[in-house]
Amino acid sequence: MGLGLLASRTLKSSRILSSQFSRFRPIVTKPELQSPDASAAAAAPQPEPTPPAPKKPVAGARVHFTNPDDAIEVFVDGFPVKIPKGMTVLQACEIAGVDIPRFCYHSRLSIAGNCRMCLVEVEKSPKPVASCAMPALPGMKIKTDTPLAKKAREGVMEFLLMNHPLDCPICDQGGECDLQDQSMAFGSDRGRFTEVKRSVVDKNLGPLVKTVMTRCIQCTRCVRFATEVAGVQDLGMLGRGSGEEIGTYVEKLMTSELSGNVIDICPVGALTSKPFAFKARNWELKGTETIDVTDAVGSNIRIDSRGPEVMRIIPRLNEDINEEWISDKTRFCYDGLKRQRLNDPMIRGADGRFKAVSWRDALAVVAEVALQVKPEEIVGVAGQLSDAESMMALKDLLNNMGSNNVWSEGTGTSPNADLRYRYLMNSSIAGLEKADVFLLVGTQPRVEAAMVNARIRKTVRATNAKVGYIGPPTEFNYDCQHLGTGPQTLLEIAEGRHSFCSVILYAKNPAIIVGAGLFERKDKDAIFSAVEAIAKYGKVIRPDWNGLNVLLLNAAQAAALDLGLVPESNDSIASAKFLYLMGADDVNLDKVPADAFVVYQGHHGDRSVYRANVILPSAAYTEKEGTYENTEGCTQQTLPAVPTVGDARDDWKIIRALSEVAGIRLPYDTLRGIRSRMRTVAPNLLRMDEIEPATFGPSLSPDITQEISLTPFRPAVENFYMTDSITRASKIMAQCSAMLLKE
Amino acid sequence: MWLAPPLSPAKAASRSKDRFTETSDNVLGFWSLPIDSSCTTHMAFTLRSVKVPSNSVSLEEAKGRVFDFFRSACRSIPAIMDIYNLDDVVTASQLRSTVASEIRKNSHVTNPKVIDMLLFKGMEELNNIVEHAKQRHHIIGQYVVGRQGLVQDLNTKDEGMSDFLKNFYKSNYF
Repeated sequence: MGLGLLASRTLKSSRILSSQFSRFRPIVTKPELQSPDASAAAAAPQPEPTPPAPKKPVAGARVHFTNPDDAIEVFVDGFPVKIPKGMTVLQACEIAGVDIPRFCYHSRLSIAGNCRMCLVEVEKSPKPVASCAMPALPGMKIKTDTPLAKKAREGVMEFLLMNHPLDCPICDQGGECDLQDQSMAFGSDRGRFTEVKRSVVDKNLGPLVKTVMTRCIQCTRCVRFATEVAGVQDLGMLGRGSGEEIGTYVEKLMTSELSGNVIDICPVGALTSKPFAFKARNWELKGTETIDVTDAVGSNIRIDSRGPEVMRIIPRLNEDINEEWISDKTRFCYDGLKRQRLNDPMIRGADGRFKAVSWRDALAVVAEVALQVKPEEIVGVAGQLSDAESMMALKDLLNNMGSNNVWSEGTGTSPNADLRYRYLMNSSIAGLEKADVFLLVGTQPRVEAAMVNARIRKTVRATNAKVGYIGPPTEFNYDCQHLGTGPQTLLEIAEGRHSFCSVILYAKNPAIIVGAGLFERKDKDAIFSAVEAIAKYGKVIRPDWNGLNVLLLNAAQAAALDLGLVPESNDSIASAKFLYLMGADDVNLDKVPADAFVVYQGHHGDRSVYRANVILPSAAYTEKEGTYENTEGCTQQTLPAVPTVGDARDDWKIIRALSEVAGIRLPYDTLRGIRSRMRTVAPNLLRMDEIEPATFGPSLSPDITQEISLTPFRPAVENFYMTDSITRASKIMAQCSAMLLKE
Repeated sequence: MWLAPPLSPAKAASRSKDRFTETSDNVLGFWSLPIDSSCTTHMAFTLRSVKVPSNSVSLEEAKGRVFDFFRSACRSIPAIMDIYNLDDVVTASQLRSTVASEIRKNSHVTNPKVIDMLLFKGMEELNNIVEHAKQRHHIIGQYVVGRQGLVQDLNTKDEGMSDFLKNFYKSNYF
């Protein structure tokens, strides 16, 4: 927020100010600050100092003029700034490069204007104005640095600190607290308050958010976040005056998949992270900017670690993907990284127990078995958290052994990897905001991809977009029309017999979102052709708009399909003699023959370990550098934040080492080497932070002769909080699913 | 039975210790024999009397001292093998070549002062050994098994291994 800059600026100017009057700052308030006229008069006789060069916009704020006629000019501290009509005074100041202190204002929430911290002086206005709530008018002369504005801020700080406890030394927000910073920068050095501070009863918001309500300054950011972004009406304001407090109206937990974000937006330590409470101080943490892999969105996160331990995960701003929010699963899954970890290579002995061995022995055993079985009996499955490099290596290894039975879990039988539009979110996550009609086919975005759901909710709130849903009954946090539960309804819409058809027909930018849970259905090609029929008559795919979307479930899926991890035969797992599971815990292992040799390479002792013969420990996403492609086709990279656990190795290194032990050495020794191999298969996986759109549309799709089955769609995610090996090992996620999913 | 127990290693060690004390009492008989017969410098193998010899003036003199040191080391080898009971693990010639290789490790040194310093350290070490200041496993670990450590992988397969695989077995970070 640039508060350091802000503070230094203030200190600098105050030094100049005090030198004007005397060397010692008087305790009493200065008479010339009492009335704005006097201060103006005092300032007037001075010679106008040469104005410093115009400042850069705060935090890279940009102005986007939709219509050049709407531009107006205002003056901030004497500098002219061009801004679009309708911007507030605070936004104009930001563009002029002046950061206004604020507590209640948040750029992604509605304006409350109740903290009064952002008061500035506007010429010809009788009193200071709250800049966050005042629209900028043409020719307005805004003064942010005058004695009047300073006095106003000082007064507001004094009032805020009146009832704020002095427990900064034991407060988890300490060091990153807006109130702390701004009271240092703008507050008075003493208060006049002598009575007893008020205290407020703490609220129980569930296992994620810790509340110390006495610290609350009633900025209502959390209330606005809950009602506007998260779409739950759980939080609200109770009481009036000094009895005013934030709370749930009745004894109730906050049941939102985005509830953790109130921790970030709370400017004080009233709402803090419960799992992080008293664990670390923010200045002793090392931040690593990386991405999340617990769903297919690829939210941008920062992993704060201390030594070898991940202490917390917080969001990073990315307007195209997660804005500045992350889901609770992303934020709180990190304690799973400390439990159930595999740290040594292990071989299952004759007694059925695992015995820790050296890497040398483990690889030798695996290689020996792999070379004994027939090539067509070798099967490899990549897990949902696999990075692109290791999937490339796995595919190369198995292909070199003569097998082509390698796939990524969740892509179902005979996935269609030839046409990228069939597995990507073609309109992109940010592009969903342009849509005015949504048709959700067999997908529950709220649990499958909470950030995509937040985007849909944002669109619905902003433009009253209509949402139709086909699938099992589920909860939405926006208005949604439940059209039906299965392919029957889809067919009706495709054939134009349904009332929703006209909604799609008259929509400007209709968007269809198909859930990746349908990949598991046998009749998925027929369903896709029905969806494409809707897309055709609804003009969903046009040169300027592509609204045909697939919402993937797992972080590895898009990259796996780009790399061509497509199995040769559908029931290869039933005839497998050598099964290589690279972090695959959600494959059905019931059909695996009893004499098959199962290798599990992964970081958690999860479901598949029960069947494994050999365990090869690998690194989790916080410990390795890996490429991931999200559901919209945007390639991003994780960076190692903490060292690996025990004797674990990076995934691709294990496969590369195994290939050498087995005598079919893969031709890459470094991450660069394996990436240049990836370039020959899927060059888009090397272009970081770029969306690679699908080239071809449905015009190329083959004719479908499949019969559509009428069994209703099933939910793809049963428990939002526990979807992969990390979250299943997490205690916090277990608490969440026990407490929040009860009803 | 009590008088003639089977010879256990501990017993054997104590026996050799006895012999050592026995011989070391006889100063002339054991210690002075290998050393004084050829050493021109005053090398005495008791810590108290270790004196720093005067500096070598030339490389030749330093070289000569090295040979003298090697000879004295070789002469003490039979005694060392006896007191540490090394007959069943190593032969005298193996130990001699170990001493030679230890000396050859520093063959690149040409500064006489440095050679003197290394010689002093060598003498100190030899002194410690023959004084029985070490124990059997020290000698075996340092001079018999070698510096690579006890765990030696003599697998012939490793020879054709790539650097990647060698590093992989060591750690994840390379």
